[in-house]
Amino acid sequence: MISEDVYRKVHPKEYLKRFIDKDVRPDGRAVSTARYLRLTIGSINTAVGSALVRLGNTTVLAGVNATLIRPNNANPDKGIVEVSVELLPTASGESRNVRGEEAVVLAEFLRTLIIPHIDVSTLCVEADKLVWCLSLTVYCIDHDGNLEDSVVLAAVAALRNVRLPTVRMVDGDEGGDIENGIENTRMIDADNEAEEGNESIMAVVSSKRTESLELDNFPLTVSFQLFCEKALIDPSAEEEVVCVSRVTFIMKPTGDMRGILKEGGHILSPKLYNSCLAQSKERVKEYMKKLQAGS
Amino acid sequence: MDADSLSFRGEGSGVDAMLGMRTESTAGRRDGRSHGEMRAMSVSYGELTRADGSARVRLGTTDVLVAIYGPIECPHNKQDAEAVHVHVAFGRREAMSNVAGAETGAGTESMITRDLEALVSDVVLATLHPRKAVVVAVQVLADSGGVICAAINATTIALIDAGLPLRALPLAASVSIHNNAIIVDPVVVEEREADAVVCIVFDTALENDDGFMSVYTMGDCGGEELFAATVEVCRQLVVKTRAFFRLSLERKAAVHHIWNAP
Repeated sequence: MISEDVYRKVHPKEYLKRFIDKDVRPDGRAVSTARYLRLTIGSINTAVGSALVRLGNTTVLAGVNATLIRPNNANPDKGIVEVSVELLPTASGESRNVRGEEAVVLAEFLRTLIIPHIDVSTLCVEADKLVWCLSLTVYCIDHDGNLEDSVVLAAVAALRNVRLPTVRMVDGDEGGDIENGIENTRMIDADNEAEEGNESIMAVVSSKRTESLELDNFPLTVSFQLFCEKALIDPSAEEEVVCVSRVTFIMKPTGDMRGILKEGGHILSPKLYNSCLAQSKERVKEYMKKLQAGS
Repeated sequence: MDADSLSFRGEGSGVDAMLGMRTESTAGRRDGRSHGEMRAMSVSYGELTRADGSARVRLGTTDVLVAIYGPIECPHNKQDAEAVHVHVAFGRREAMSNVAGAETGAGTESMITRDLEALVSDVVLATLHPRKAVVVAVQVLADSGGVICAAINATTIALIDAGLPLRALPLAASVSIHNNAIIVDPVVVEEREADAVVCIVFDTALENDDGFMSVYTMGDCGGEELFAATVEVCRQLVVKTRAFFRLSLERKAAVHHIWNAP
């Protein structure tokens, strides 16, 4: 007879199976119960938008930074959005390479979901001269499974929290008057270092941040791991290692299905598909409640 | 029929992909195909002499070549005592990023690589070759839409060509959704214009199967009813694809068999 801890380490699959056969999970949840979600929005003052998501022990922090730059020649009237994801060393015991690879895949996953929803033409201050460049960075601080859902939720919450200052272009002459006069503004000087003889751009930026991105339609994801003909919603890290396949439902804020991602060679039966779809709709309501409460 | 009502499912009349208007069933798409018509498919085996198995699948002008090496020696740190280790190398001929605003870059390569690794690991009888590796080298020679689909199909055929025993026979089909209409086997420009592009992989070894193996959706699928119709359309496509591959494999086998009439 070996102790429970040893059995858990040596036979992780059998350990999980014993629980799943009785429709519970090692942390006491039912198969169709997700972990408690904590969402804290706008706590980071140095970022224009931020959000912290805690899904059980999984902790993910998203921050948005905004800078004013010259637009590139291909898209002179569109702003730029950069998305990156980092798995910090605190997140898991994996090596830097493994964490890096996972971060690249998560970043791509997030990028393809989020970018279509951001209207980059609203980020333009003046075509050909000045646009906003938003860089969204998501840090995974603690990895206890289901980074996909946490990363997307944190990114969406941070983007909804973004408040940009109003920007107004000025000529050189006006600049002098403004510095002496109005208190709530700040001069900025954005110029293109690459080319010589380029005039520098001057603009006035208000110190109050009031412009939001107006993100009305955004993706919300609900992930499951398949194991023994059952679908485990919101898997923990221990479960993810042992389960055979992940299914992610991409939903709209209204609860309608936007898409579905499933990799691998294990069949998703229609019965399981319908059950997961129903659970996803319920879960989206929970997400929306938290998003609306926080913002 | 009012031209404004664009909500039809699956096998409806043709739709002009560019204008979103209903047209007759034969006309509509830029290359003259109807909504339910796939491009010409071709497959060739064993083009690579050094690989254990190889297959080249062409869907119209999309061209994907897959080479399989395996079971071969596996580096020590990747060895698994109970299963074969699958490594996928995915390459395109063009540069990763281009000036015209590429959305695909190192990230998409990583995703496709991971997806293929998951698929091949699940499909190959992994416990037959412990501490060994199977290398899947995918080379996209030309991309005019449907690359993921062609890559998965070519991988399956290459695995058969290599003689690796398989637990299932995954074949893929992709469609795109425009204004609630489903269009089969989209080309690059149709993929870009689409509301959603859906690629579904089915296990064609099963006779009565209602589920699917994998699915990749990019964009807005327009709700679960439309998605269910999309699954059915893809399933029919995969049946045709399977019939085609079966025919080509039978021909290939016939060449190497000497049959003595009784």
